[in-house]
Amino acid sequence: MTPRRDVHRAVDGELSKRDTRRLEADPQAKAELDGLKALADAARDAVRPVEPPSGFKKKVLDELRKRPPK
Amino acid sequence: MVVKQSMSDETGIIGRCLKGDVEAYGRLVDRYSARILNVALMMVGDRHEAEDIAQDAFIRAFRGLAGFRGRARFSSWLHQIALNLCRDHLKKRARGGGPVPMAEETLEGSRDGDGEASPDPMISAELSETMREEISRLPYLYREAFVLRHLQGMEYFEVAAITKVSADTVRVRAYRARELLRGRLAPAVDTYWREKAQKEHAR
Repeated sequence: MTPRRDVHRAVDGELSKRDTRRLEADPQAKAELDGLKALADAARDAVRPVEPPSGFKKKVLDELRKRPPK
Repeated sequence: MVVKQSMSDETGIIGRCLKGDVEAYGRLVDRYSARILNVALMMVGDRHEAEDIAQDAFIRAFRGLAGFRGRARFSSWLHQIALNLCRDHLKKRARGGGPVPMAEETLEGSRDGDGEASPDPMISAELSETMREEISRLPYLYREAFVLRHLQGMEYFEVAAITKVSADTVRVRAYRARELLRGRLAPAVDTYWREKAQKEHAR
């Protein structure tokens, strides 16, 4: 049985090619690997980054000009 | 190489900031504001609160620059400040018994004008919302590891530097976050992945 840790290491690309091939030969481990890869992929695609509002930098710099560090 | 250049460039900027050059600091705000805002948003789940936290993080970082020893990267240090603010904010919110907003609800205002990236047409609004909700339900430390690793694309050693635990501890937190999310989202995620693979194959 493939340790869960190895499945996660394979998701992160931290498992050697040989060990990844061995893991993928185990149907249950392969299914878990695919499931976790799908999750990581979907999370990246689903959570779209937002941009700071237009006045963001000005607000920070104005605050610093108003009260400079001692 | 690029990282080295960026670090030496930052050392110069920080030197100017230490002499009180606020304009120079603007370059660091430009460089990191989106990353810090997105981390804060995923940690506190509210766009306006996240903006306040991100601004506060930049202000505190500038005022604390004299104490920044340069042993860590400026970006790691800035992330630490922002995450500490997020933690304090969530503690305050928990004490007040306030509701935990879901990030998706609070993004409504940003869709029209604040330059959110175009949505991936393959991602349904439902999956996007569910994913945000489920990430926001993760225990704090798992959420932190997942957001920095998977949404910010950091290496484990970088997350370890920010969170001040070992890279192995970060790994375990990220693994547990993935297991929890997988358990809650498997059908929707599998459908998305299958459709994406089919579409890519058809190209």
